[in-house]
Amino acid sequence: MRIKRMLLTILLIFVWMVPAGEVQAADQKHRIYEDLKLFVDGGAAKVIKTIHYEYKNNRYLSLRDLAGALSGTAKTFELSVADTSVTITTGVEYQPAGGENEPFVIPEDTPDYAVTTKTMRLNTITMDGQNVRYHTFIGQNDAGNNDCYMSLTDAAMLFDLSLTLDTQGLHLDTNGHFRMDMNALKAQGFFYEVHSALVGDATTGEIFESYEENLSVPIASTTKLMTYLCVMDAVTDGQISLEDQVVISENAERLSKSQDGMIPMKAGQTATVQELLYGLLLPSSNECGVALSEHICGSEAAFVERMNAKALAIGLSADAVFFNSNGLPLFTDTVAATKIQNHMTANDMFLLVSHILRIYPEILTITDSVKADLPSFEMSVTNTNPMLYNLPNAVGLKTGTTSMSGACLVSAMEAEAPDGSKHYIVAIEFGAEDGTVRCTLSEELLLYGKQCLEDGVSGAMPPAPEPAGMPQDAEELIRAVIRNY
Amino acid sequence: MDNDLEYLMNEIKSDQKPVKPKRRKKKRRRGNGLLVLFLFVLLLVVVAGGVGIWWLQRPERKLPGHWHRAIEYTQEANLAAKEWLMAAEGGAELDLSSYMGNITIGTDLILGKDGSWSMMLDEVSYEQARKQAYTALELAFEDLLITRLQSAGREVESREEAAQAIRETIGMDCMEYLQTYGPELLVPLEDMKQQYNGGGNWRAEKGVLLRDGRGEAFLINTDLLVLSGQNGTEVYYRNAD
Repeated sequence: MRIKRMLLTILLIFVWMVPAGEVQAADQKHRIYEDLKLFVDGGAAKVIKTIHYEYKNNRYLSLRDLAGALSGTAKTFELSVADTSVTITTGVEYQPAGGENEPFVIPEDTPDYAVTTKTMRLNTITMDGQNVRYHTFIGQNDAGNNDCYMSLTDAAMLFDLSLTLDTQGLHLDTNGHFRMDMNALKAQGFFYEVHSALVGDATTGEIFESYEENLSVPIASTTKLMTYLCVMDAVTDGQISLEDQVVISENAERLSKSQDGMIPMKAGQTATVQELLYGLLLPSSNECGVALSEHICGSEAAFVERMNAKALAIGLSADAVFFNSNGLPLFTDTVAATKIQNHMTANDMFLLVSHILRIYPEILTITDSVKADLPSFEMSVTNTNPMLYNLPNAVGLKTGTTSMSGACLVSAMEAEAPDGSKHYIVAIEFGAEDGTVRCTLSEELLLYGKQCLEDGVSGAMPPAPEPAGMPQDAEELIRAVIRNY
Repeated sequence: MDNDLEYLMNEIKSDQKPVKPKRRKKKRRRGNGLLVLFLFVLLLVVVAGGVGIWWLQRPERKLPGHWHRAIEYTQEANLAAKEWLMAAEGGAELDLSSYMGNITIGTDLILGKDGSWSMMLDEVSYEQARKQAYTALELAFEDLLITRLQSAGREVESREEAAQAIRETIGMDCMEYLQTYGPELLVPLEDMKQQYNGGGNWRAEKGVLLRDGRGEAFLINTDLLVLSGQNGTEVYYRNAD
C-alpha cells in the first residue's frame, strides 16, 4: 500500500510538471481541455477554449471564444446560445457575455466539469435565418453563460474560415475562405475513417477524388436510389403512373410494424406511388420499398430481378448486387443461413446517381425537401439527410445505415462553374463509424468538389461502361430510348 | 394341174411360147428372202439406234455441270427475330412475315466430267440474306418503338425519327446495334461454310449419285436436278455458265 501511494504521488508530480506552453490538460471522462492559442490575421494570440472530445485532437472549440476573437474583423458574428439551440448572425459585432477568451478554470473539487455534463447532440443552429444541424454540445462556461462547442472542421466550414493549425496554435485569415488541401489531408489519413468515398461532378462524369472506389461494400438504404430508378422507369414506360393507388400488402404491413418500420401501414389501405416515393426517400421507409415493388412486379423478388438487370444495363460493375428493394439485411434460405446485404462500389454509386440526375432530375424535388406530408398515412415525414440542413445548395440524396455498412451517405449539391453553367457535385461515403463522421466528411467532400469546380480542376473520367452496359434486349432498348427522348 | 391345162389351152389359142412354171417359183423365193433380209437389217438398225440413243440420253450423262441451289432460311430468320422482339411489350403482335420476305442462301455444286465434284457456299448471297433479315428486323423494331413512344406520350411518327432517337440514346445506328448485340438471325457464316463447302469424287449408277461413299437418289432433266438422301430432298437448277 505504501509503495502504491508513492507511485501515485510520483505520477501526479510528473503530470503537474508538464510545460505551460503545451497543452494544459486535465483529462476527465476522456476529454482534454486545451487553452488553444488563436492568431487572427497574424495578430496577438487569444485563448480559444478547446475540448478534445473522447480522443486527442478531436477538437471542439468554444463558439463564444471564437466570436470574441473575430470581433471587429470581416468574419465577425453575433451569437446567442440557449439550452438546446444556437443563433448566429454574421456581419454583426459580437456582444460579450462574459468568460470569452479566458482559459479553462477547472476546480479541483469539481471533477464533473460543467461543460462536460452535456452530451454531444445533433443540435439545430440558426445561422442568418437558416437552420443548420451540427453535432455540438452546449453547456455553461465559467462565467455561467451558455456556450456551444463545435468541431474545428465544422466551424471552419460553417463560417467559411481559412484555418491552419501548427505547434504555435490556430491561425485564421479573415480574408481567406475554407479550402481543403486534399493531398496533405490524404497523407494524414483523411479517408481512413470510412470504407470508401468519392466526390465528383455528376454533370460531366469527372471524379475529383476517390478512396477505395472499386471496393464492394454494403450500401444499406442508399439502395433506395436504384429502387427509385426502377419505379420511374415503370412510370416512363406507361406501366404505372405517379397517381396510381397502391394497395398495401400484408408483407408491407408486417415490415411497417417491425423494428425496421418507419411508416405505420395497414394491409388493404392505399397510397399513391408519389407518396410512397416520398416515404421511400425522405424518412427511408423500407415498407414503401416493398409496397412499390409489389405494385410494379407483383412481388419484391421480381422487382429485385429488375434492379439487378438495370444495374447491368447502365454499366455498373458485377459487384453491384441487390437482394431486396430497401437495403435491409436479410438471411439466405439455407441450413447455414448467412446474413447478406445489397452491395456495390463507390464508383458504381457515382454512375447510378449520375444516370438518375441525367434521366430523372425530378428526383431532386423529393430529395431536396426537408419535410413532406403523406395524407394517406395522415402523417408528415422529414428528411434524414444532414446535408440539406447544413449546405444551402445541397439537393439530396440518400442516407443509409446498418451495422455492417456503417453510416453511409450519398449527397449532391448544386454548384456553378466559372462559365456560369450549373453542375451537380456528388459526394459518396460508405462505412463511416457514426453519423458525426458521416456528416462532417460528406460536407467536406461536397465543399471540396465545389472548390475543384470553381478552380477549374479537371477530374478523372471513369472508364466507359463495358459493352454489357448496352441494352441487353428489345425491351431494354425501348425503355432507354423512351427515357432519353 | 388345172392351171397347166388352162395354160396349154391358152397356148393353143395363141402364138406365145409358154414359160415353164419352175423359174417363177425361184423368183418368188428370192424376193421373199430379200424382204426378210431387209427387215432384219432394219431391225438391227432400229435396235442399234435405240441403244445408241439410250446410251447418249442416259441420266448420268446429264449430271456433269454447274448446279445451283437456293436454301430457304425464311422460317429460321423469322423465328429468331420474333423471339427477340417478343421480349418487348407489344412485340408479340408484330407480323414479321410482312417485313421479312423470302430469305435464301445459295450453294453451288459442280460435278465434273472427270468424276470430281465440289460444292461452295455462295458468300455473296449469304451477305445479302443477312442484310435482308436484319433490315426486316430493323423496320419491325422501329415500328414497335414508334408505337411505344407514342404510348408514353412522346411525339414521334416516322421511322427516321425513331432511328434518330435510337442513335442519340445508344450512340450507334439501329442496324449496327442489332447486328452487334441483337439476335443471330442466320447460322453464322463460318458454320455454314463448314457445312456446305467440300469436294471429292463422284459416280452414278442406277439412279444413285455416289459422292465419296454417300449415296443420293437423283432425278434429272435438262435443267433440274433433284437429290434425295439423308439430308432430305435438295433441288438444284442448272447454272448457265
